[in-house]
Amino acid sequence: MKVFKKYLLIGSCWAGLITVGTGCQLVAAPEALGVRVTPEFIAMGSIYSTPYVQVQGNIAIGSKAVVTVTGPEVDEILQWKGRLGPVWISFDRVHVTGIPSVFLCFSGAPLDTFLNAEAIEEYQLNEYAVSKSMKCMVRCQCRERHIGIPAHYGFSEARCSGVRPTSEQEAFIRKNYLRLKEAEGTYGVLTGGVELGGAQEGRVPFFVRFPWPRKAPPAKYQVTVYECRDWKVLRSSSVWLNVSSVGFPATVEQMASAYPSLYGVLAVIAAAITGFGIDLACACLFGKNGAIKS
Amino acid sequence: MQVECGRLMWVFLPVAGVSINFLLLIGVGVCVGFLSGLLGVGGGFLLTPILMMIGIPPTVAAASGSCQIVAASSSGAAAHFRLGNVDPKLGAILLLGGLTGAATGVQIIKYLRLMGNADFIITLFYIVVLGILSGYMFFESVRNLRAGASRPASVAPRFARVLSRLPLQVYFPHSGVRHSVLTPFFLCGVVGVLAAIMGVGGGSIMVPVLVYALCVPVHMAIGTELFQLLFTSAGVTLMQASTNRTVDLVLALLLAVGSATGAQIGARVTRRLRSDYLKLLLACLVLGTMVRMIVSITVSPSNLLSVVKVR
Repeated sequence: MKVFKKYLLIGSCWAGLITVGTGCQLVAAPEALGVRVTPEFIAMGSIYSTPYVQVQGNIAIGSKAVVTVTGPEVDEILQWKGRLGPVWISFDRVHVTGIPSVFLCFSGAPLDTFLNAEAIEEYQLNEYAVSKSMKCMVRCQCRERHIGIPAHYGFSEARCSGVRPTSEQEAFIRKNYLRLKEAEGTYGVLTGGVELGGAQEGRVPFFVRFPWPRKAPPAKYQVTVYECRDWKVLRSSSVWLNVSSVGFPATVEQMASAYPSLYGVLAVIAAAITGFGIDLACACLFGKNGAIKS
Repeated sequence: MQVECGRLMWVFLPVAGVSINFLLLIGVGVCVGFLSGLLGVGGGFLLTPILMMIGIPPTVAAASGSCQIVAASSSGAAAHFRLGNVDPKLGAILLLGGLTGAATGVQIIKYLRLMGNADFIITLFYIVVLGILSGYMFFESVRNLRAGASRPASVAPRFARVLSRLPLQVYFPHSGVRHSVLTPFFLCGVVGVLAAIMGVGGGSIMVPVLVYALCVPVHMAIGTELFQLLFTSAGVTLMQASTNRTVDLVLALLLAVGSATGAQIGARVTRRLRSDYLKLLLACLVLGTMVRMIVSITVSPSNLLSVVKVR
């Protein structure tokens, strides 16, 4: 028995050393923190208003919880305005990739009051840390229709026709890009967003409730909870939130991308029928010259 | 229950990727359609910024706006046709000229873009054109309204002599004018070039050109321009859908319901208004567009970056 305990101790030490040595993130199964997101699926149907999303779980007494929501990477072309004398003109096109389409971070207190800067950067817990993964090209001449086409179809960020920006330009783009995303509600850090409940069996339940961003596109979003203590992240666990268009909007979206010419013809026919139909209805209701029928 | 009712008023726009209150979209459509039926303008210059303001991406706003113009112009043109305000012969020539001009404009813009600050030069040029047209129309209609009687528009004698010597002279019975086929074709071609360069329908320029250069009565000019606009906007919608894939059918149809209704009201109000009032309204609208363009290039933007296209 003593021998068994000795080997168990040595094995645990090695496992610990390997974990620290490889620097791998401390990811726990969702059930470890009891993370649950409600609803798990957001259906964007014909009648859709942005719902409230709730994330809940539990952490050890004395720990702090940080909740992040991240979307898939963007592939965007931006217009850059500059001043020429008294007027503002568009003087460049910027191609941005490698940064999440949505980044929301919720915590009970300012992050720097319970986490050190290295941890914030390593786990990308604020907008600045997230923006470091951004890749951008200026003087981009890529045509709009090439955007979003995966690399195996012949287009990728690496094949962007633009040039790498200078460090000043990159810092400027990063700063303004974050402002743009904050303004549209897809980026944000909310201090005080995590609420804690009463302690039970050495654990404290927490929950976050927030309105889903209006401009968040249909995609698979990762909701991650970080348990923090002693200025570092102890462990984290993630669950997925699926946002998808369904019904008529899904059909329209699919048709617009799969059969664009047919979709265009249908759009013109539908618009013309609407126009002539309303004209006919008005002629029947109000008479041919606008006089109301007696 | 109240919340549920409120939620029912929101629709998801699949291509734009946002949800919007549909009553707001129909309301915007009614306002733009009213102006379209009243003054013969497509309203794209007004609609695109409004849609952008309520959260629609610019490319989707412009493309879906052109689809909405199909509905507004078909409704307005049909109402004007019934009222006897459409000259199909003149409309067909204008359409050919407009399409030729638009195709030329698309090629010109490629070269202008290579020159660098082309956008700035084009915007300035457009502001000057709008300023001259709206200023002339404004003062002429105010003078006529003060005098109490409107004078029919007439071409300057020297210009009229030149026009009468051109070949292929045709009488347009609906408009009551005689011109060479080349005149409306060329003038509409020039407007088509400008419209393609500026990315607008060109209705706000075409109606004054028909009234002042071709002496077409104002009511007839409005109806005929709507007739031409129906085909041009249909072409633009097809191109936008097949090339850029930015036409949002749900958005376009909601706007179309509003704008087609608004166009009917506008067309009926046109019939009851004196042509000088119509000219004055059109002058104010064109002046407003010019002021908006000046503001857009001189006021500091809230962010120097704006999204052109997103996956």
